[in-house]
Amino acid sequence: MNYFVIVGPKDKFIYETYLGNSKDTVGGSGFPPHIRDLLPFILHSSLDLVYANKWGKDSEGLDNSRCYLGLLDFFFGLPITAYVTYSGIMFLMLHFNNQILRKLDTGIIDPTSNSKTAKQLAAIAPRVKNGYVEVFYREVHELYIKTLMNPFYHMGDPITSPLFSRKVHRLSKRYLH
Amino acid sequence: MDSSPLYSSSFVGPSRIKTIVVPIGNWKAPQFKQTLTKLQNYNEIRLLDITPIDSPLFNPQGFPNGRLYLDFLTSPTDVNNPLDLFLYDFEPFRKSFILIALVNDDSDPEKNIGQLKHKFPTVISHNLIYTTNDTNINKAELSTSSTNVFKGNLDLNGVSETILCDIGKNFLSALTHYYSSYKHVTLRSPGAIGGNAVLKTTLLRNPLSSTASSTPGMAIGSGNSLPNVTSKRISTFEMRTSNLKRSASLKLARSLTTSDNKVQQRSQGRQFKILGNFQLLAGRYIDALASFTEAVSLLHLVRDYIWLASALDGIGMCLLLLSYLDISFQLPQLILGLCPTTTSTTDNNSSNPNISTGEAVLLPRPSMTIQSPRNSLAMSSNLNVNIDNVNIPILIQSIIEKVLHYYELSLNHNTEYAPQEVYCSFLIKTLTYMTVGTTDSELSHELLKKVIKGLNQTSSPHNIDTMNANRSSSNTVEEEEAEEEADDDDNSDDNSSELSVEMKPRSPPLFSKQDVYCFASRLFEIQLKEMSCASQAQIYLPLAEIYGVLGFHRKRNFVLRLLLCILAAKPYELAWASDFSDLLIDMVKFFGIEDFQPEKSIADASTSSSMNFHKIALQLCLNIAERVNDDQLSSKLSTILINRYNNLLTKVEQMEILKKCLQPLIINESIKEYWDPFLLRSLSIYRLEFSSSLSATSSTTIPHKTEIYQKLDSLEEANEDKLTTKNDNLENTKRNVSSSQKVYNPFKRERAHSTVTAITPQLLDGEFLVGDRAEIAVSLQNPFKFEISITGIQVADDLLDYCEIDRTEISLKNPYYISPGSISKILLPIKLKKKTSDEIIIIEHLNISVFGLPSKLFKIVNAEKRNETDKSEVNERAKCSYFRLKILPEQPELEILKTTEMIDNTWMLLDGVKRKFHVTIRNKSLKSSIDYINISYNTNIEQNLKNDYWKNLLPDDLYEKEKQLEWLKTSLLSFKDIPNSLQPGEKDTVEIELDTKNVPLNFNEVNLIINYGSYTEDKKSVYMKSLIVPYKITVKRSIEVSNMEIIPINQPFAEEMEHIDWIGYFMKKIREKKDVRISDYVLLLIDLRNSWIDGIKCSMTYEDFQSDDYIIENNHTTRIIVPIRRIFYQENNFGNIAIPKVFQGRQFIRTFLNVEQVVDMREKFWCREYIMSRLSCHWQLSSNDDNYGIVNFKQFISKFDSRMVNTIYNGRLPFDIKIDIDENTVTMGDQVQIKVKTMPIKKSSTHDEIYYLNFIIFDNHTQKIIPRNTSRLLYNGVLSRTLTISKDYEGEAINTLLELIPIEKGEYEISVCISEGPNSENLLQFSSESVIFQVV
Repeated sequence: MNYFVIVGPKDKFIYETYLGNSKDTVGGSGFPPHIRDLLPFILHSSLDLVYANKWGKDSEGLDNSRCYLGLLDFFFGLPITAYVTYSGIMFLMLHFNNQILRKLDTGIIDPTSNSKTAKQLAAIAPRVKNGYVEVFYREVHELYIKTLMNPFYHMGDPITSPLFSRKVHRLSKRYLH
Repeated sequence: MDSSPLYSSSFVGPSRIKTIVVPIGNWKAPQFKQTLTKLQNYNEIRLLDITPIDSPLFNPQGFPNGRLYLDFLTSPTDVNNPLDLFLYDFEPFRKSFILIALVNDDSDPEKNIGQLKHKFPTVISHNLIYTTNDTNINKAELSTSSTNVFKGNLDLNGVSETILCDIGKNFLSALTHYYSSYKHVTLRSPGAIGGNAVLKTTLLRNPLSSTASSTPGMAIGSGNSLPNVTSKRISTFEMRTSNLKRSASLKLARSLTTSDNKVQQRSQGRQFKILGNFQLLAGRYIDALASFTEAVSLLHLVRDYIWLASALDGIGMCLLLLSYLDISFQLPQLILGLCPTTTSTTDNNSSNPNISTGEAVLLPRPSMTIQSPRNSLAMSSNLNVNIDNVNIPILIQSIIEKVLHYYELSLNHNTEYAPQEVYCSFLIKTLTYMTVGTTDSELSHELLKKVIKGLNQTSSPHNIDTMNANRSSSNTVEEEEAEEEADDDDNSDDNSSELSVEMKPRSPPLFSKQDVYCFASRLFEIQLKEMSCASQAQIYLPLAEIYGVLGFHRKRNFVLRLLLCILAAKPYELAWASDFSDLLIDMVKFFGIEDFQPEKSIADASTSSSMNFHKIALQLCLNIAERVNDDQLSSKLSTILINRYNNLLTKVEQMEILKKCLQPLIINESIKEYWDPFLLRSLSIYRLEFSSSLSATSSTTIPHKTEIYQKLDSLEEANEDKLTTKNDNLENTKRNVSSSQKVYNPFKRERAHSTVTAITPQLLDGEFLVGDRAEIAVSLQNPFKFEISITGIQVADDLLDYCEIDRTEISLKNPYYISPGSISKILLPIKLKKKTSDEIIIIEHLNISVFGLPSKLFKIVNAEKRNETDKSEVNERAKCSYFRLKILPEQPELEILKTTEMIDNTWMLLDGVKRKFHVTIRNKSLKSSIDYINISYNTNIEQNLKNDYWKNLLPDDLYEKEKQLEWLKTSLLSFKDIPNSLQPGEKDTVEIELDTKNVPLNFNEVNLIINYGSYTEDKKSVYMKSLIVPYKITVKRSIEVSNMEIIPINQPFAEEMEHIDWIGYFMKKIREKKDVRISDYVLLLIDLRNSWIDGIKCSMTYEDFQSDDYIIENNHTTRIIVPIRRIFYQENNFGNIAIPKVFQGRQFIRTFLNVEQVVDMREKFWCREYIMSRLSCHWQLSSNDDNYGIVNFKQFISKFDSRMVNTIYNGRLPFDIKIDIDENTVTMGDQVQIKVKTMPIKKSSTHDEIYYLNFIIFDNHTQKIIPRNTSRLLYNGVLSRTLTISKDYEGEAINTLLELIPIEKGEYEISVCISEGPNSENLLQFSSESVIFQVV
C-alpha cells in the first residue's frame, strides 16, 4: 500500500488516498492509527525537498524540465517519490510494500518504536521502480489536467470526484503493484 | 529548563563549562532573568585575565590566549537525565562544574554556601554573588569568609567581568583538585559502568556499510559532500591505518607483548583523553591537543574505538578553537595519517587568510609536564606538520568521518560500545558545524566564530576579540547580520535566500544544504524513541533549529511535531519555558491553521477544510499546551480546533475536548467567550394572544376575540403599517382621507369598510404595547457533537430600557440544553417596558451566555454568504437579519360584559322577524380612557363573497344580489345609544336591532366590530383597536313560498261566491266602476307553506286588496289567491326601462344579449319588481302574538317566467284585442253582435301591413271548435277578416263586427286570433279574452 497525496498551492492537500489492492485502502485502515496520523506530516515535511530540488539555489544546473523528481526522501527507510506539474502542483507518495504492511498489521514492526525490528524494516523496505512510478505519475498528471478542465473546478480546490479516485486506483494497480 | 544551552549547541560544546545559576533571596523571575543575561554577556573569560593559580596542569598563565567558555544553566542537566551519570567518566564536560548563586538579600554567606554544597554535591565550585547594594554584610566578613563569595553591582561596567574572572579562577583551582581524583582511577566505558541502562546506538542500516546507500535522495549533492568523500576514502584510509597499525605493533611488540601491557596502554590512553577534556575546559587548547594526540596514539594501538573516537573528536575541537584564536601550531603527523587529507600547497594558504604566520609559533606541549611513560612513539618534532600547510576544513571532515567510523566500529562490542546519546550528540554537533559551513566557502574567522559560539548564540558586545586589540564593538553589526532567523516561518518558495548572507557566489560553500540534510538523515537511522525524553529533546531541538537555518521549515516543524509527540506521550510533568509556547504558536501558524478563517472569510470557507493533518497537529499542540497548563494557549487552540475542525472530529474526540479542555478552561476563565460566532440563527417576537382577556372574561360571553392594533395618524400615513386618520370628526376625516389624500393605485383593492391602509411590511416586523405579554422565539444552533448549555439570554444593553427577557427562565442554575448537531427554538417571555412612540427599535443581536461564560453579543445570522458579490457587506461571512419592533403606549381594553337574548353568542330567529338585543361594554383598563368608539358589522355573506362576484352575472341577477348586499350592509343591524367615550372602568349598554327580513338563505353569522381607541399625546390621532364579536345566527324558516302562478280571468263570478275575499274584491270593483272589465285582472296564486312547528296565521296585501287571515298548520301548504290588475303597456312600458345598478362605475361589462333578449329581460324584471313591491304578507304565530314577521317573496321567486309575464303584461303582444258582445243571453234566432277592437301595440314601419283576424267559435260545453260550415250558427260574411294597418297609423282602434244568429241552443264562446295569412295560417296572436253567450 502506498500513501499518495496531491498538494496544491499553499501546501494544501487537495487529494489524498491510500493506494493498494485490498480493502484496507479505505480510509487507510491498513495502517495502525498512529502511523496513519503520521503519514501526512511525513509528506508535508518532504515538501521542503521538493522546493529545494525544483526551485532552490542548489537545484541550479539540474534538468528543471523534468517533472518527476524521483526518489526524493526517506523516512525510516521508507522511500518518498515526488512529481511536480508545470503549474506547481506536487504529487508525493510514500511507498510501502505488502511485507511491511503485513508486519505493521500484526504489530511486529513499528517503525517508530521498536529498534530490533526497525532493522528488519529497513531490510524489507520497498525498492522504488522508477520507471513504473514515473509512468504512474504522468498518467495521474493527465487525469489532473482533465480535472482542471472541468469548469466547476478551481485550481486548489480539493478533488472530490469519485471518478478521479477510481482512475487513480486503477492506475496504481497497473503500475505500482 | 532554560532553553539557551540547547539552542546554542556548537561543535565545540565540550569545551564549555556547564555553570548552574540559582537564585537565593527574594527574586522575581524577570529580575533574575535580567541579571542572568548580564552574566551571560561575559560568558567568555580570557585566561589572561585570571589570577594565576598554583597548578601545573590548569594554570591560566600556561596558555594566556586560552578562554573559559561558560554555559549558563538554570537547572542541572542530570536532573533531567540521570543516565548522564554513567557518561561523566567518558565525557566529563557533561557534568555541571560551577554553581553561581545570585543572592539579593543579606543572608549568611557561610550558611548559603553550606546549603549549596548540600544541595549540589557534584558541583566542584560553589560561588555566591551578592547583588544588593545595601547589604548589611560587612566587607570584612565577606573577605574573610571565603574566596567564593562576591559582592557587586552587576550593572556597573567591569564588575561582572571581574567577578566571573574570579569565579574562573575558583573553577580552575577546583578542577585541579577534581582532576587529581581521576589520576589513579581506572577509567571504564559507559557501557561497562551502566550496563544495560546505557542505551547502545542502534542503527537502521548495517554499521560500517556504505553511507551512500543510506543517505537518501540527495544524489544531487555537490562533490564536496561529506558522505561521498568518506565512502571513497575509507578504503585508502583503512589501508593506511592498517599499515600504521602494523608498524606500530611491530614497534610495540618488543615492550608490549602481554595483555597486561595492553590494559595499561588503554588505561593510559583513556587518562590522556580525559585529561585532554579537562584541559579543553580549562582553556589550554595546545595542551589538550597534545593530550588527545597522545591518547589517540595509545588507544589506536589497543583498538579502544569508543575512547579513540572521543579523543579524535577532541582533536577536531582543538583544531577549530586554535584556528579561531589564530594561533599557529603544529599538528602531529599521526593525526594526518589517521585522517588522510591532502596537504595544502602554499596556494591554499589563502583558504585560511586570517591565520597570521607572523605570530609566535608555539611549540607543542610547551608546558606538558606529564611525559608519556613510553617514548617509543613519542612525537618528535620532525613528525609534526605545520598547521598552515593543512587544509583544516577537509581535515575536520576527515576527523568527523573517522569519529563516526570508530563509534560505529565500537558497536560490535558488548560493553565498549558508543552509547546512543554520545553518538547522537556527536551527530548533532557535527550538524551544527556543517550548517554553519553552508554559509561560507572557507573557514574564515567569521565562520569560526559561529562555529565556536553556536548557531543561535548572539555574540555580546563584550566579547573579547583577540585579533583586534581594540575592543570595539564594530563587528557586532556583521555578526547580527550573520545571525540566522530560525524562527522566521515565512513559507517562501525559495528558502535558501535566508542563507545568502555573505555567500560568495563563485565559490561553493563548504557544505551544501543537501549535504547537511543527508547527514541529518542519519539521525533518523537511529532509534531515538528508546532514549530518554530529555535526550530526545536535546537531539530534536537542535535538529529543528538546523532545519530552520537551512530553510527547511516544514522539516523543522515535522521534527518539532515528533518531539511534541514524545512529550505528549510522557506521563510525568513537563518542565516548560514560556518561550516554548511560541514554538507551538509558530507551528500552528506554519501549518496555515491560523490563517484559515472560515468564519470570517468566504474564500476560506469555500475551500476545503478537510485538512486532517491540521487537526492532528492542533490536537497535539493542544495536548502539550494542556500538559504544561498554558491556559491561554490551550483556550486558543481548543476553540480553533472545535470551531474549525468540528466536522473532522468524532463524537468521542469532541467530548474529550469538552471535558478535558473546554470545561476546565471555562471554569478558570481562560476562555472568555463562546467560540461559535453563528450561535443565533433567527429571532422573532410574538404576542401571546387571548392572554389576559381570556382569563378576565367569562368564556361564555366571548368565545373568540381578536385584537388588531392600528395607528390613526394622518401625518404618517405613508410609513405606517395600518393607519386610520382621525381628527375632530372621525367619520368625516376618514372619508376625506380615503378620497382626497390618496394617490390612486389601480392595483390596490379597497376593502369593504377598511380605513386607509398602506402596508409596508419591510419597515416593521412587529408592533407591541407596553405591558403586552409577548414571547421571543430564538433559534440557536449547536453544530457540535456535544450538548451545549445556554445559561443566559438577554437583549443588548441599550435596549434593556424598552424590553427585557425574563431572567428567571434561563439562568446559570437553570440552563437550557441544545442537543448535539441541532438547531433549537427557545421561547422565552419578554417584558415590554417602555414605549418607543413613533421610533422603531431594531434588535440586531442578543447577549447570550453559553456554558456560563460571560455574555457576548451574537448577531442574528440568517444564512451563509457564498460569494462576495454583495459589496455592501464586505468581510461579512454571513447574511445577518434583524427584528424591528415598535412599542406603543398602553392602550385601553374594551370588554363585553353581557349580551342579552343570546346564549353563547348564538341566536335562533324565525325568518322575517326583527329582534332587539343589548350589549354591555366596559373599559377594562385601569388607566387609559376610550376616546372613540365606532361600531360596525359584517356578515358571513360578505366574507364569503368573491371579489369578482359581479362578473358573469346578468344585470337582473346582479341587481338582485347587490340590492341584498346593500340591505345587509345598511339594515341588518341598527344601533342605538352608542357612547362617545368610556372612562377607565366605565360601562355602557348598546341597543342593537337585528332584522331578518331580507337575509339570504345561507346567512348564519354576523360579526360585531367595535373600533375603539385613545388619543395620542398630541390629541391629533388615535390608536385604534378593534374588538370583533362574532354572533352565530340561525334563521329558521317560517313561511315559505313554494309556488306562484298567474292565471287570467275570463268570466264573471256568481254572486253567491262573493264571500270569498278575492271574488268579493272583484265584485266590489266592478260595482264601483262600470268600465272595469274582468279581463283587466289576473289571479296570482301563491302557495304558502308553513315550515315552522307551530301554526301560523298570515294575511296577504296587494295594493288595496286585503286578504282574509289564513291559518296554516305546520308543514301544510295553503294556496292564497290575490287578484292583480294587469299591467298595461300604455302605463308601464317596461321594455324601455333599463335595469338599475346598485354600484355604478363598473366598466367593460358585456352581457352578450341581443335587443330582444334585453327587452325580454327588462320586462320580466320589471314585472317581478312591480308585483313584489306591491305584494306583502304578514304572518303571526297562532300561539304567540308577539312573534310576527313578514314574508320576503323575492328570495323565493327569483324570476318570472314568460308565461307569467305574458299573462300579466300586455306589452309583449303585437295587438291589443278587446272583444265585446252586446248580450250574453239570447234566444234562438236572435241576432247577436260581437265587436272586436284591435289595436296594434307596435307601430308598423314603412309600409302597410295586412293581417287576418279570425273568429273562432267554441262550444262552451265541449270546448270544441265549431267548424266554419256549421249548421248551429249563422253568421254574416266570413270568419276571417282582413286587418290593414297603414304606415301612418296613429293609434286608434280598428273595429271589426261579427253578427251571429244562433239557430241551436247551447253555450258558445267566441275568441279571435290574428294571423298573417287567411284561415289561421301563421298565427300571430291568440286573444287572451273571449266572450261567452248562452242561447236559450
